[in-house]
Amino acid sequence: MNREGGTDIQELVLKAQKGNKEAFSELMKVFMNNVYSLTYKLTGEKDIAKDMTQDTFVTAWDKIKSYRGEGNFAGWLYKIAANNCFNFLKRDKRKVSLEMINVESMEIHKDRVLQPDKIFENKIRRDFVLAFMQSLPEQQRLAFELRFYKEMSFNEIARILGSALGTVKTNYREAIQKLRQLALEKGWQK
Amino acid sequence: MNCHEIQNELLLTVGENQLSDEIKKHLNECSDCKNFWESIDSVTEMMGDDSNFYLSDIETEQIINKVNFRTETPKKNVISIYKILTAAAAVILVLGVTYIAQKAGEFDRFGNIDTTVIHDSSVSQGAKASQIVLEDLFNEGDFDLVNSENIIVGEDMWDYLSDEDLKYLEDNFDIEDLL
Repeated sequence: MNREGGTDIQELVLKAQKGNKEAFSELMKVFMNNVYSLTYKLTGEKDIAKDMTQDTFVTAWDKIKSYRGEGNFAGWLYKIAANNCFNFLKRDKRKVSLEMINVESMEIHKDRVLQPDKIFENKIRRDFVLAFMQSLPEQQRLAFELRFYKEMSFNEIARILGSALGTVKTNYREAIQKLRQLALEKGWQK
Repeated sequence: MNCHEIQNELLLTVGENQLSDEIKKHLNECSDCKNFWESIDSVTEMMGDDSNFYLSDIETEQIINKVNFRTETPKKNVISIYKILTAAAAVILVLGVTYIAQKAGEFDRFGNIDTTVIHDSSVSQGAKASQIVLEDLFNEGDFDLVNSENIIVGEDMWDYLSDEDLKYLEDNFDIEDLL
């Protein structure tokens, strides 16, 4: 059952706004992977992503009464998650470059990246995506994540990020250009 | 649209299944743009979908439990403690400054009582102190009132006071009490 955007979510949000913890737990179950996959790709580390996911839901519970139903609930959560991640990254100051994430090992597996078998598929793809995402500036990373993986419209993304529509499109376009360029350089294309 | 515009548009359509009719038509006619599109399309396949980043059920449950724990535990009201400490410090500061100011006003730099404070003292405690000081000065015979002239205290001391002095005393002190 796809409950995102449906009345079930609205009902759960309304109940949670009235202090219903069980309803909020249901919301966490529905959106957990969406939030986690975002925090993972923004931070690049699994344990940090888990902490950021946790922080996101704690913040969401604290502020759920301020959610007025503008946009979808997922977008509201993504905004909190992205803020948490970027605040963390500002404090952390770690810079992860594409080179640091052992691109060489990915070149060895490039055939598997393109035609992955079941064993390596997830890990190789995950490593590749993480390496690529970490090579992007934060705003491009977020625009790519929300558009490509979360399939949000540019208008929605612009509203969530508080950015101009043109800026979001530019960020996304540049991210795709970099991805294409990277693939060309490394010979990862079919 | 020209090739540049088409390619810009193609970059934005990555991840979408459908291309507009105009773009499709252009791709059929332009090999450069078609190659460009294929290069993007194939590489985005490598990105997979979000399912590569999903948590296991156990991990999901652990995070939910942690969130529930954190949101159920009453927050330590650290801010209110700071507020209380700040308020206490402010009260102490105000009282201290008031006390020091009062003391500074009553004594000159040599530690002697400054009679000028008598004129302006408006607080009751200050008024009482002023009255005592005035009595002492009368008795010691070196009282310097308005015109900074020494007055000999005695039975005829009133003869030495000018009309201005008398008016000042009447306005500011209970003369009968002083006598």
